[in-house]
Amino acid sequence: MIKRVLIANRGEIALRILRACRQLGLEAVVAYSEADADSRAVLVADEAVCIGPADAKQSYLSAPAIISAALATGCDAIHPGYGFLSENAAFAEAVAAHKLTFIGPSAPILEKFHSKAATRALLAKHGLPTIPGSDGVVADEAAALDAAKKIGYPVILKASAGGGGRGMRVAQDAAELSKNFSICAQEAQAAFGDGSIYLEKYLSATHHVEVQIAVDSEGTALHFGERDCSLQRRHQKLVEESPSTALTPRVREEFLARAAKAIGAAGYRNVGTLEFLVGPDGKPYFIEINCRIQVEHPVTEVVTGVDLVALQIALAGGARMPMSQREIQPRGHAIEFRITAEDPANNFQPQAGEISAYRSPSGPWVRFDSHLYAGYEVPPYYDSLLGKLIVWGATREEAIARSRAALRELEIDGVATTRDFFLGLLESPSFLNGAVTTSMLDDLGTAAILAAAPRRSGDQAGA
Amino acid sequence: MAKFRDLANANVSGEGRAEELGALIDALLPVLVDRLAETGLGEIEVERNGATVRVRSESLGVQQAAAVQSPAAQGAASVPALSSVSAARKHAVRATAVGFLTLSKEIHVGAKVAKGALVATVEVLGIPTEVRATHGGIVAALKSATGDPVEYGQEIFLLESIGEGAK
Repeated sequence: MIKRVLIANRGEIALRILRACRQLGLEAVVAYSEADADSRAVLVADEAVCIGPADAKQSYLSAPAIISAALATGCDAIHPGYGFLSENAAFAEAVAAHKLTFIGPSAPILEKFHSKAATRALLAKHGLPTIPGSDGVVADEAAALDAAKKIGYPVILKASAGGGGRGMRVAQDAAELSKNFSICAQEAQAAFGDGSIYLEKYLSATHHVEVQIAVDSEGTALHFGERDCSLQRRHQKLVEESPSTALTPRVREEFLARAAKAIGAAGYRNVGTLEFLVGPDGKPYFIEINCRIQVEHPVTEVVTGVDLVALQIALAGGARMPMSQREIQPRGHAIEFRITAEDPANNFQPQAGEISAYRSPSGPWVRFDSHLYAGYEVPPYYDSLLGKLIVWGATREEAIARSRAALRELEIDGVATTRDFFLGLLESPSFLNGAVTTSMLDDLGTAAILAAAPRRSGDQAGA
Repeated sequence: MAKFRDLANANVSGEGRAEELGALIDALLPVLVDRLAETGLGEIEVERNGATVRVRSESLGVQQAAAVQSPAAQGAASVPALSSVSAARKHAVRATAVGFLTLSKEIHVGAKVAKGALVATVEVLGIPTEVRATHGGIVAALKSATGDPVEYGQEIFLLESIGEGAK
């Protein structure tokens, strides 16, 4: 049984985990870097411990610092959040070696699902359709050209150890593949310490649909519906919604059940997400798994009513699945907007600085997961997520109407944010009719989206 | 369990006569702190011109609180300039990692420490991380003890500058 949790993350997710711990009656200690001494999670926490300087390598990415902090503060479990060390098998192993519970899949499972190429092969064996691709990692350029010939162009090169949209390149033909192969391998080596590359057929105009799953230690696997994360900019997700507009009810039912069954049988444990591409044919193809709680998990929480972070902690503590598949009945429609400190008018340049004024949206069916407060200094060292606006409606149309109202209510001054970008997006016909594809934002262009944002008349005049 | 977020231990209040009080503290505080360390007394209080300066060594002589009260001014407006007077003379030696502390044998109140000396180690998963003195001086107060869990940047002890090195 877990009693006291070290929260080894920052920003909104540190706050989210803290809330889950309190709800479960668990003690929590927030680990923070020097740059986050004034963060909301630290201010709200009953206890907090400084683990190192601003540089993440010496704080949030330092396994010794985090484990030592857990031991020094008497914790018996570590929640890694997302990003940082959340999917690091060596870290999970070190945590277990110090008799602490890692809140996530165990080290052997993280290891098993670490390689994307191997995971694709494994889940294909358990009945998930996969995109035609190279049979695992391609050894060199010649092997890549060979594989691409069989798959058919265009192909996408992917770093086997990659994630978060990094380490990918599209090649339209052999010449482009030759040009991109070594670049991609070098980038992968630099970013992930592993230069392994694999190939997939590149599907243009696709939906990115993912399935939230959870598996207990006995192998009972449930799904919690899907999320459509098609709205991406350079492979970074900006908007997520559930249910997906790309799935017909018949396809959905079969697809979700098959995903849960496959992941349980493949030996996965704890919460996770299976990512799929849905091609123009309406069929989902498995692409990768995320072995952590995800940024966009609230979308699923809002439609299912299940607290996924609490479930994750319970499962890590050895609990059996506290519900059955029949009890999980998604209702209505939810949309999440990632409000980041980025300037859409300036190529989404990340921003840092003091939040001079802040007003969060509220009201029925509106949830704003954020660590902001007026006077908070957004540090320049970490990712630029400021908050996640999650809005529910009985229908997609209702969720959109409420999203407009909530976005207009949100006020963040001091740094440029993506708020107006989303207001513009909510005027776009392709978004409104559900034709959201992974290339939609690039096709529309940022300038056009921003121009569509309604000029504010009644509310404040902006920064 | 160590308190990880210690509040500033200098608590100074006054009103209007800030400069006067500042000069008073400037003159008195170092003397009183030395006195406290030498004598092992729990508390020393001095009255001058209607103002009181009290230096108190808290439980186990670990913490020190300096309080100045002007009887004429119960409003207790804080005067930041005053607290910085004592801070300028003292240098905190801080933990270089999060973990369990071991003070070097020669570290005790009153001990003389050379700049760069190894004064403690913080054990991080069994591996000692060195803590070296960033300044030379006399150990004025211990804030942590051997075996204590410490966080990164936590004050371990305070060093008082000696001689003309002090401003």
